[in-house]
Amino acid sequence: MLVGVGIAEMEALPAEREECFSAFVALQRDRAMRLAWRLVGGDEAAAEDVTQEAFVRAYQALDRFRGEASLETWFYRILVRQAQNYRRWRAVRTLWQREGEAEPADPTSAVQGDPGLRRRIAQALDQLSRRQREAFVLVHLEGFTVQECADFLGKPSGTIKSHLHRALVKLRAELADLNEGTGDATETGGV
Amino acid sequence: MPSSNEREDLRPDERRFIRRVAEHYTPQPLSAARRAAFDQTLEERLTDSARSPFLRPASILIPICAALLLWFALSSQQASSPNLKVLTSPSAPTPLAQDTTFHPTLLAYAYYQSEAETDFLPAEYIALADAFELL
Repeated sequence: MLVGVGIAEMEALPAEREECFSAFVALQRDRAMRLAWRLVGGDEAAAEDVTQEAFVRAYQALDRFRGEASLETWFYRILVRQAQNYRRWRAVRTLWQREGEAEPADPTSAVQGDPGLRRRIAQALDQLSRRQREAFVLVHLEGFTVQECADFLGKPSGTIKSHLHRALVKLRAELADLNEGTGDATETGGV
Repeated sequence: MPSSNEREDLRPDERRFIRRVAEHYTPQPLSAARRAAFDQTLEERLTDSARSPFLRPASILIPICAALLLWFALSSQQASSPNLKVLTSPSAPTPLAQDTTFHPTLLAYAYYQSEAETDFLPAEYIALADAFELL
């Protein structure tokens, strides 16, 4: 949960509030960027823009934050919505562009590892429904709990579990080669 | 982690699969330089957003007001020449038909053409043809 920044600090004077918000940004920046990168399909520039817009919107709406949820939950809810908006915008743009001019996300830019496999994972995630993809990324890849994911997406935790199960089945079928081999069975999540 | 976490219910092979996906589908960690650039850009956007709340309502209201004014102007113009309604086509109005309402002389001319001469063309087309001839 949020360390050192809470509702009391956010209700403080503007100068102190800005300081607290800066601390919040510093605390969440890396995780938010990684989550956005995974949600928008591995596009680094888009992930940065989505993350920044989420921080800006959170800052603008701080007055309306009443502490019903943790600040972290509230912020990630905004971030997930921004990522959804970006994907919608990209889908519309792609639809209106001619096929040859489409600009798909490039999950190979500025990352290490196997670019081909990364692209295949991005494509497999794209084939999931929006809720399945978001649940899989939030819980299995980012290490949020099912309840946190349910809070972000505004769905019951039972629904999230159902999305997670279906997403895992589809991905394992799509990326069958990742099932093979003998890896260790250590705990995953939040990688 | 709470006990409701789905990851605790996974089988070992499912965990291995997810771990591999997570390992291969992850961005490069942010460098110090990128963090600094990110913070600087964010600072600029926050500053801009702090200024713009006064401009945002205006930027929304101005086009709405302009559209309302235009609509009122067009409505009043049409109301001041009620006889024009009979001159337009009974079919759904097109932008062209709307434009023709501003040329009562032309429309009247078009309307009173002999039906024998004009029955193969809609009134809007006739009005347009006449307009070009007169211009």
